[in-house]
Amino acid sequence: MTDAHAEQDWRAWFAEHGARLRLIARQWTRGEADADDVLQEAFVRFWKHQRHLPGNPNALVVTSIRRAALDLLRRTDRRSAREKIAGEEADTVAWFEPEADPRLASLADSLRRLPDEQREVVVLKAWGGLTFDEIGEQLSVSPNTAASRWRYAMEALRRNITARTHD
Amino acid sequence: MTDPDQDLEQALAALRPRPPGPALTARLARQLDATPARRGVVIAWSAGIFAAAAAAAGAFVVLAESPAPLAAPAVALADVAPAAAARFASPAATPPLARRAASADAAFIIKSSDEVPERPSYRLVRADRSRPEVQLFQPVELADGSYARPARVRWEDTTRWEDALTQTRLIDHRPNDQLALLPLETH
Repeated sequence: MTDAHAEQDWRAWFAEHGARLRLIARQWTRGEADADDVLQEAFVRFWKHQRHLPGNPNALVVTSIRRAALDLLRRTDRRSAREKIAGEEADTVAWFEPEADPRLASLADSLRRLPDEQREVVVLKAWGGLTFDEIGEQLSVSPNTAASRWRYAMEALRRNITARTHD
Repeated sequence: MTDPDQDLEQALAALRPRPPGPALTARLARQLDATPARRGVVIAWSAGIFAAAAAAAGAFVVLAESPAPLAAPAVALADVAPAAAARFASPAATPPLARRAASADAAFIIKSSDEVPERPSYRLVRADRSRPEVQLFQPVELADGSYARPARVRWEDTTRWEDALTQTRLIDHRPNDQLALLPLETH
């Protein structure tokens, strides 16, 4: 990751990291539009006020995204059940670019089907670049719990890929 | 970590998250690209306010530094009681207004800077003092047996500061009201 502390051009930094940041936002939101809203709020906050702070910029921006996502969830919890269901059914956009390799396509689909608590650990580690210590801080769990969820997720992904390959 | 996990991690790393759309980038641009201009306005505002506050504080320092009145009232009092007037407003202890203002000016006037060219720089352009109004009262006997005549002197000081760049002007108008006892000699 390029150093956000020294970077002056937000466009260059966002062009390099925007995709993975959006994935992180997407897995904590109910739809594409919500993910965009969360990422916008979080990135503006990070770029204006936090990128010069000491520490891992990855962790700072992920914290900002998570806070914005939780705020949005609290606000939208008042939606009617009907609106929620309609929104979720309408969200058919894939999280990843289409893959020609069937194994990768299967992996992408399996990732979305993981339990939330396992999927967020995988996303934060693989695309957030966080350690288990940092993931534990983000999710308010111990590093051991974060590591355990990672292992469960790896097992589940492997099972899913193997089963689909055999299908 | 086992080798199968490593394979799986490599496969995860090969997945390409969908990039944000141009609409999101445009929304970010509206918020982030507008920041420097807004910040410039804030700096200009704060610089103007700071300069005005500094000029006001400087004027206060100039005019209120010494409790003694300045030269003009002393001259008026000298007509009434030269000795008391000398004690009341010593020229040595009280430099002329313009000179004192100029020295204070060096301390607080905002210097124009190359980094912030729009920053106002107030300069003292005029210092006026009204004719003092002297009011004398009946002589009174003091505790030590001597006599003195109470006197009240009122006058107004006005200083004008201007910033040539922004064509703004700061006027400090300060009324003064002082009481003094003029000793009377008895023979």
